[in-house]
Amino acid sequence: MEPFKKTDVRMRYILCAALLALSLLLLGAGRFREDLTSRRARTLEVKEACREAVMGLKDGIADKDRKAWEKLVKANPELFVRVCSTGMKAK
Amino acid sequence: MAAGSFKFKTLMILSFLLIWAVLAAAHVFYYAVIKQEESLAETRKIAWREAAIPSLRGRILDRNGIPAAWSELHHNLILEKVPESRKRRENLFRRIRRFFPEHELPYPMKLPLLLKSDLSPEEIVLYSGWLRSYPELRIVPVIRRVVIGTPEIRSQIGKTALNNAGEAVGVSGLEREYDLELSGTSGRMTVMLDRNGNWCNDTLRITRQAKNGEDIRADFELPPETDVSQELPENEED
Repeated sequence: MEPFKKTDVRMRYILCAALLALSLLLLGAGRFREDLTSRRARTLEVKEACREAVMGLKDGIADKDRKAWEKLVKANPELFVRVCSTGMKAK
Repeated sequence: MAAGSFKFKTLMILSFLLIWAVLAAAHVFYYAVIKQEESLAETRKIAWREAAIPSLRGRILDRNGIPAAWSELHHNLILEKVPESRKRRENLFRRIRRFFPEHELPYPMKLPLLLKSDLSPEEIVLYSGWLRSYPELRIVPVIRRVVIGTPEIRSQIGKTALNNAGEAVGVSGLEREYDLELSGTSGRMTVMLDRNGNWCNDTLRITRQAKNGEDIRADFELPPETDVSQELPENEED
């Protein structure tokens, strides 16, 4: 108890403020991580849906291009959804 | 007297600032709370777009299971609009001339201009790099219905045409008779666009998956010497 008695009031406030800031930072970091994880999961879901949507058109691709199509669709599913979509209009 | 005047002026300025702050806060409150739904709906209308993902029409097979009619997917690179800014226009034209010297690119020109047809998957990835800088360029899908066989077989298979939604429907022969089985269901997607027409990251959603049409088997038999590579596309769908 001796060191605390000797510490002046200002230092105690600073210590409390630092602890509070640290806990808030930790809380924020936890939330940020949760948000990142859920966003990553959502992105993966969207990519998978895009891949499925474009792979459905695989049978229409010329035989010579089919292998490259499969490989590139796996790597860029959103791009291939973009180039396969038609009739874009306001929602 | 001078001190009184100073106080009065200070009071005036502070009152003005207070009124201004209250007005600004009221404005924010009006749009953020009272008109929130209306403003959001308006924003969605401006930014969100919906598009179709095409489905493939089913194949018509002969009695041995050899395809006599099928759909092929191709991609074309087109110039849809010309940039209004002179500098951007010149930069884009310079790039197009470097890759496609056969295009003279007069200004003004008839649009859309087909720059390259039948892109390979590698070319799609290559040219897609241009789309971000120049949203005036587009890679568009083209679905061709290919029919092979003797004139009698072709006549029996029949023809397709595009309806108002841009989907192929059978208008004669087997294409018409089995239209329900052959027709697929197109998928739907939504995406948010920025003011330049570029797709915003992480906003693409597939709201409905496309479903391809079913294959049907006909009674005729394709002659063994039928050369697929010699046949011309029956028609084109976009």
